[in-house]
Amino acid sequence: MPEAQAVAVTPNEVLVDQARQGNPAAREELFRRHFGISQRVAYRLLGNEEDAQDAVQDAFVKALRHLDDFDGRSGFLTWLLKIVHNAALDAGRKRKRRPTVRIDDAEKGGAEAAIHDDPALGLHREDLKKSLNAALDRLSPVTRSAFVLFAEAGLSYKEIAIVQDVPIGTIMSRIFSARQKLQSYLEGVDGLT
Amino acid sequence: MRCDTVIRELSTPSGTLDRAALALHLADCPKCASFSAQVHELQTVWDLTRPAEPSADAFDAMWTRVVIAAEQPALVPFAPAPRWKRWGLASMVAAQAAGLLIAGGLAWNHRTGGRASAPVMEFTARPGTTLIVTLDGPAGTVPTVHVSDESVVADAADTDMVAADFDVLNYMESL
Amino acid sequence: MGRPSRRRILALIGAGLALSPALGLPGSSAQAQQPQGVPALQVTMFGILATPGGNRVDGNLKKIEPQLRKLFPGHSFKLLKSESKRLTLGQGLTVELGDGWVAGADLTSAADPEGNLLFKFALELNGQNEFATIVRTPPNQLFFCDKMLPDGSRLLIGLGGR
Repeated sequence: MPEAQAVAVTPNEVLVDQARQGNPAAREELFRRHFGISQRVAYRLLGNEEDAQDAVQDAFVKALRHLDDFDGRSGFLTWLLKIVHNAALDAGRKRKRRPTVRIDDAEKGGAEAAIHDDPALGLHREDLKKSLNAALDRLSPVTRSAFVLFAEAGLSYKEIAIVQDVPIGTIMSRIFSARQKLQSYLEGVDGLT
Repeated sequence: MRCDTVIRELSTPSGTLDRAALALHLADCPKCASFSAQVHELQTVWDLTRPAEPSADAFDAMWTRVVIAAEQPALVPFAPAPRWKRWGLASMVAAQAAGLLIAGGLAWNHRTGGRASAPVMEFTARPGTTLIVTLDGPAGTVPTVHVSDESVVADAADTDMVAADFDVLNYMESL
Repeated sequence: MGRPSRRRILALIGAGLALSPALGLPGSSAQAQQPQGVPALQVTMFGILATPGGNRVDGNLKKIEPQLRKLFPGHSFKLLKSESKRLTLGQGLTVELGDGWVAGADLTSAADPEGNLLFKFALELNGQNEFATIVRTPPNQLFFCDKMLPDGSRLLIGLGGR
């Protein structure tokens, strides 16, 4: 069997052990397999692919430096996403004054494009992105991140509680609140019904 | 089955509700059925707007930078620890001052052979926290230094508050 | 009391740094470190007198009362002074807080490798240096120096930039 396939099926815990022992291939594989989900989570938190890439890079640097701090009490994904989450929140704070697209603007900008680009959907995918990002932007950082970790990363309530360092009940309350608000903000956006 | 139970289950699924009973309720309750439709719409938007999986090349390009950066000395201690353990410190001197509540002046006096001036330390604020350095002791003496690192992101789930210190900075800047 | 100058305050910090090789930072090379094209940053420093107990709040602080209470619960608040200036590297600002207290801060770096702003900060009473430190903080975040006063009240000095 080729070596690459053998690495691909190695459990995270084994890769972590190998990485700690200085195996660069294990280290790279460990991060490679979590790259996609880290990027998606950072993108949902920041609404911008470049910012997301920067946040993931920052997070991976920190995670790599402190791999020995991973104690295995949570899964590696949870541990890594906590670092990504914190890096994204930090990036979000730094760019706080950057103008954000409001839902109203996104709707105005999207109507015409929708006709030409994707009549079957009724709204171009990019416009949907803008609308959703604008809606996410209106949530508080902790509420947004709780929902993103739930909806995008598929973390359990308990895992999100570990990431946010709050009780599980608070996480459920944040997700409930986020969903209510997102649905309300997106109500009336063309192309959703 | 109560409507609020249904709404909560649709929003934050527990998997504990009887699915048949839930379906029956949705068939008979326009309000919950409408909410269920909104849940599906949000899911549809979410799925449609999911960013594409990054390429292997994208990872390779980033990984090179990550490995190089990780080999540089870190300026900020990593602290994914419980909140009570978090100290916003960078230097060893400051870490001692925070962790053990040692009088900063003792360390300073030791280095300088007496109180020539106040201690110089270095503190680093962690992202998402407000670093508060408290100076104790009478004026004119070397203070004892306590450090706390407060989380300033609002906890309330139903508010859109941003970090407390961000609001304070905005306001003070505008005065 | 004679008015202590910011230069004097920062000279004290510089002296401290010279005696503190463990920090690994130069004491007076901020200007030389300034990279080309770094824009000025808006730096804000202010002083608030926080008195334990009560819930009185200076009219000037009403708008941020909830935030102050979150950061420093159980206090009455009075704004002493606030200054906000655009600074380039090596420049600083001074805030006279009354009763002989003066705080000074210099912007030393606009972005360290972690993206933090770096300040030299000093607090002086009647011309005597009380406290001097180097502060690294992300943009949009505040650093607070909290000086306990003999009557139990607290002198809060906030510093931040972006």
